Amino acid sequence: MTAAQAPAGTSPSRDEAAARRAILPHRSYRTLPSTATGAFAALACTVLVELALALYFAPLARTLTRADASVLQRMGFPVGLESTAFLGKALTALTFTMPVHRYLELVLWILACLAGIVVFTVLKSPPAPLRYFVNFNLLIVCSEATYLLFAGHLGYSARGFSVLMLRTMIVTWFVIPAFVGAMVALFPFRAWETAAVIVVCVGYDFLLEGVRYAAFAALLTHTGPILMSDLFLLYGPLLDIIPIIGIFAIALAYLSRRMQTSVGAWEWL
Amino acid sequence: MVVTILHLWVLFVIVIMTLYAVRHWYFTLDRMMMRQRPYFQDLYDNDLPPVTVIVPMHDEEAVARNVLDAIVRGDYPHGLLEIIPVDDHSGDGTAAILREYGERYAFVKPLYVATGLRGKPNALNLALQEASNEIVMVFDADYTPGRGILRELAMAFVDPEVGAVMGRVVPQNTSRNLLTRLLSLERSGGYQVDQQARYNLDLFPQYGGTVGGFRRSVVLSLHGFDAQMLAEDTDLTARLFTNGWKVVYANRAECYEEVPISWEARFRQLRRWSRGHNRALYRNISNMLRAPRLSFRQRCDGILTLAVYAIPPILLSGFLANMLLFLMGALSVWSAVALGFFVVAYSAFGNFGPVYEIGAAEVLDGARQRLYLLPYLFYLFLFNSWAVTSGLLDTLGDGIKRRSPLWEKTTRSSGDRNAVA
Amino acid sequence: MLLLSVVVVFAAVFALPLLPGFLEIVRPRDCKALNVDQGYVRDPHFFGESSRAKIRSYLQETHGQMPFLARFLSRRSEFAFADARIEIKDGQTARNVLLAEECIVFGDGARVLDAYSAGTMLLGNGVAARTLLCDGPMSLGEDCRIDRWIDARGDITVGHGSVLGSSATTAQRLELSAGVRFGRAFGLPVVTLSGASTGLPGQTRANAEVVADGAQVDGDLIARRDLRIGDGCRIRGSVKAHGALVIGSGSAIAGNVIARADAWVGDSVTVGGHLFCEGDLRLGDGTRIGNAVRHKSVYCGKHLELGNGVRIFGWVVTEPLGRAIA
Repeated sequence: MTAAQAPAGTSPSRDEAAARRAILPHRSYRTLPSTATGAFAALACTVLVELALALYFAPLARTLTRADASVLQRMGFPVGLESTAFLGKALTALTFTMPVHRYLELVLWILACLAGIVVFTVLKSPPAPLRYFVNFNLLIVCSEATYLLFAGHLGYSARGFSVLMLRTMIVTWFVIPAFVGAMVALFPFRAWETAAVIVVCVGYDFLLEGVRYAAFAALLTHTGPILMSDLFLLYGPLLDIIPIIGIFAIALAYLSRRMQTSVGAWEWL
Repeated sequence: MVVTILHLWVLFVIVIMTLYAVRHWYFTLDRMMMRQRPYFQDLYDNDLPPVTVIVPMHDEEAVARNVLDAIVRGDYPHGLLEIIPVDDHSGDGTAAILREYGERYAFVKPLYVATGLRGKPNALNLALQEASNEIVMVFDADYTPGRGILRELAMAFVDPEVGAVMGRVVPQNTSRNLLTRLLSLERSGGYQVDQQARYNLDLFPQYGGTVGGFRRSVVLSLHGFDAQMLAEDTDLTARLFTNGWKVVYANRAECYEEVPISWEARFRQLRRWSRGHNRALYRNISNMLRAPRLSFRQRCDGILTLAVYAIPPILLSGFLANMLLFLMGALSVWSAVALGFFVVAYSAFGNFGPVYEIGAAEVLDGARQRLYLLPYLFYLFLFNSWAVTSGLLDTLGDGIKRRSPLWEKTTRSSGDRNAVA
Repeated sequence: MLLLSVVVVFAAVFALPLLPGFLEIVRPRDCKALNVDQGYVRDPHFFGESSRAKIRSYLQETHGQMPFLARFLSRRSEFAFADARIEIKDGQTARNVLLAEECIVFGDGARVLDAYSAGTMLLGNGVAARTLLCDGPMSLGEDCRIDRWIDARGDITVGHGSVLGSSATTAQRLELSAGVRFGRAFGLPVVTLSGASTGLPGQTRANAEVVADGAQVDGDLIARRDLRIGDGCRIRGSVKAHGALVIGSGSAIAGNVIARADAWVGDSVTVGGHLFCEGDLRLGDGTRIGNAVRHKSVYCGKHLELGNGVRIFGWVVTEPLGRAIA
């Protein structure tokens, strides 16, 4: 017999390398074609974002603080604004007052925290990491209450805390592009994807920082300084990076999906 | 004065963490985009070396058949194979199962240990005395070796410098719960990227003691395994390197394992690893610094690898120092932010991989939605830190009280296995 | 209440990027274990044997009814069958998966996707194909081009300048003419035919460790840097060089040879074990690796060049393409 005529396009490829690329490498043999484009895009984007931040962080921070103050005032929280400076730029920080804790109150806080720690140590039903996290919070509050009991006051007043938060916010803005840029440089994102990930992370952090600054001020006007160190240490800069990794993870999942359907994207070891 | 000391301590912690962050960043870059060093799996041989497979077991009736069947089913010629399952003080039906296999297959030679020390190192030492072959493979009882894995691992020994080989561990019960899913992420980062990069760069790949093998004569010349050592695999790795031998990593030699399914079991496992690892650090650090055959890079990587279980307590201490500085009103904003980033980025202490390393491993592995779990690794931070710190305190206690640690077995989930992708 | 609403807004903003992860925890979609193929074994004939098994099962399912459509090499293809002999004339193109019981003949310049012959297979000059499978001997003319792989149970003879894709395997003799390029080759043995002499001497750095001509070494030989083994040496163990390696003509190494960088193997060298080279590798005329009883391998991480009359009993693996010297 003789075979039928083949339509154009079904003939074997003339590209020798295509022969190997036709098969998706097993995960243990996979690697990526080394390219400086991704790294360059990440570096360039990071530098640009850092430059933009250096130029505009002060007006941005002022805008956020004013927005926070305006929203909180409308909601009836007793907050105001005052001038401060950081990295040579004039800024505005939220001002608020906190109730003062009496000795008995502090003792009760200490006892309640200790009781909570005992309960969450004995309890077995919530998953261990959750119990550890609750206990850690309680431990910090308990430590702070003890410190307050003996020292009489914390190292930070309401104003000091507000300035600290504001400065932390700005430092975090500067750190995030470098951190995210270093991470995305490792992956074969397209240049616009690299830029998008960095910009989205920074943009998201503006929002998070702004909302958090307001939330902390509102909380402290009600609770007093007892929660101050817990808020800063566990829900301060530590917290920023978790959703940033969340955004990074979403980008990675998108990238991974694209890579799995594109056999030619991979190289064999 | 106190404030200065605290600031210096936080600075020290940040320097250490930066060192690790840069190291793992480079590992990830190397694995993702640089030339990968080939392993010996492409060498085909009809003239294979005889091999002894040791499977230490303590109360393993739930999984004993599975591992033995898997090894017997393998493509390694039975004439070149010797299997020594070690019944190590079992109180369940393990011994009966081993007896059954011993009667069924001439090359299965069970070893029953009912007196003396209990624990994997001692079981391995006793089995090494019985082993008749130079190449020895070790699998844990909850592992399921594939058909071709023995051949893949055995090929490493064509290199006369190779003292030990390690394959890749892949969790099988991943879908069980959040813990197993997070552990699966950790494992991927640790093997697919970390181990492979260290092999690529000729640094310090670890013999993990579960899917791997070694030369019997070499281990015996190094006086076997230390029966007091809970991390006998890490200890062996360090001793091999300091004595001029190499450990190679076989990324394609994949083997299923069961990861702990309960937080309690995971806590005990991490604590045991930390206790053993820190002891191995204490024991080998001076040899590592003086070993003439190690290059500067290997020496540095070896020390950083041995020290990984000292890092969580150091990181925690940095956190506590920052807390004191906060209470005193002397906190540095920059160090607070830096430390916060390191705490979250390094939450996976089991295989000590930062999130970008784990992310890279998952992309290489073809993961999709599971990548969304990356930020949830932070959920493990305090749990892991405390487990590892407890292990470090145990090590210190062992040193002060001159006590011997008791081997604690990781609880098995009764052969629970889930569907695969 | 107001305070609570502020805290809730903060928590919501925080949780937003974590939502996909939360959904993945609550309703897992990607939670299965990585698929480790428990039956996987290293087999040079994997492509051929798995395809034979697939074709056999298709033929059983269809009871020989032709043509039929089935999935082959990740693509839905039409299978066409001839009782005895298929002939594709010069310059013709075939789009089917061709099956023949006795023989398939491809004329010069024929183009085909996949073909399986239970007997012999003969290719003229300049034939292009994706995969070729046969149970008897296979002969490829000059300048043939294979996209993926070929596998035969009988001898394979490959004409000058052909390209064998990623794998060429046979259970018997694989003869490569000058200028043939390949990814992986398995034969008992793989033999190179005529061609020019390799000629070029291997280069090592000035601080290379040197084994003098005619020396005899009883154990393993491990060099921390480049290593040059003189002519006519006898090494009873294995050889490993962390740098480049040069093995002089007429030397014999009983064990394995490992080179972390480039390696040059002189004429008429005999290696009893494997030859594993992470850099470029050049095997001189008359080199012999393994023997009819002990099948060994040559692995080359970069470019491999085979001189005249090289005989390798086992597998030749290169990461890029290897070639028999033209």
